[in-house]
Amino acid sequence: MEHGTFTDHSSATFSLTEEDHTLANAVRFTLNQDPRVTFCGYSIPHPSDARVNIRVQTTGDPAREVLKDACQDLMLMCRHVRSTFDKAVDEFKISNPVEEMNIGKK
Amino acid sequence: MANALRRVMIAEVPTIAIDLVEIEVNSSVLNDEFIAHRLGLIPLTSERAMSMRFSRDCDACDGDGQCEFCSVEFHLRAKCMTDQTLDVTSKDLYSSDHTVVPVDFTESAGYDSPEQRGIIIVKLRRGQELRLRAIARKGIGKDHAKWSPAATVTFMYEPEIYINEDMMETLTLEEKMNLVESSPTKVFDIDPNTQQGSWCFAGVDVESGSWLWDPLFSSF
Repeated sequence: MEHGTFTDHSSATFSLTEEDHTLANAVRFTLNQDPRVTFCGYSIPHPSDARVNIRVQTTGDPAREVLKDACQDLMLMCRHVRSTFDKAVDEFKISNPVEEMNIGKK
Repeated sequence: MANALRRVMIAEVPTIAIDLVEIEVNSSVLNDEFIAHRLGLIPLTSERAMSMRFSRDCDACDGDGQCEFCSVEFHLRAKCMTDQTLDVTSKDLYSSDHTVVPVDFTESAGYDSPEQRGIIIVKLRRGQELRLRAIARKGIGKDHAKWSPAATVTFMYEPEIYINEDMMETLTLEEKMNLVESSPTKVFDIDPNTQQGSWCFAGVDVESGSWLWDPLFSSF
């Protein structure tokens, strides 16, 4: 956390290691959907370092709770995509019985 | 979020690819590291990738990363005896695990095409020989492109277009014809009998995401 924000928990910058745009952009999107967030953004200090800084400013709620909720929402979204995809694949397999692809057989 | 999926598909889905090559004999025209590089790029069937462990995380083997839980062994032996050039292809790679084999690209149609013989690794002349042992390990595209399962991944946003039916009623036929003509690509069509308009998605230029609106209908 930046200096000076130890008392004010509604704004914080979180530094995540071993992450890149893949997670940061998705989390930033879900943070933006949250009405408690006044500002959110992410930056990558240096492309050679696998590090991402996510800045969150809220309307009073502690920033880390808001970030946690955003991550949970993202997980729910992914779960939904996964189950919809699985269902669609199963339906396709039932309606279109195709022969197995012989990719491994000599 | 769609971009996150695209990035994960390219870089973080684990696959199996040859990672270590021990060459016993190589008298071909390509040097050792060249052949090792080509072997690494050969796609292998990777259904087992999810149940395998990464070599660095494997505690079953004694540190050299070559046990059955984290690796698959291949060997290749080829010697050209005839005067005809011998093509050493991915079909000559023999695996110790029959579920992890080089991907077979042969068409089921069966017509004689060069791809039927697998990916060519090297060509040998009379007397040239190639003998090697290769270890394939699990990895992700972020480490090296040979582990990336995807060739290309793209996505596209579909625009949602709503035609305001109430406003359509207030237009004269001439105004509707103007609307149909106003788009540079043929998106709208008008049925002359019922004077109903309709639009076809295929005409929308999604790359630019817009087309010139006839200013009379900017409320759409």
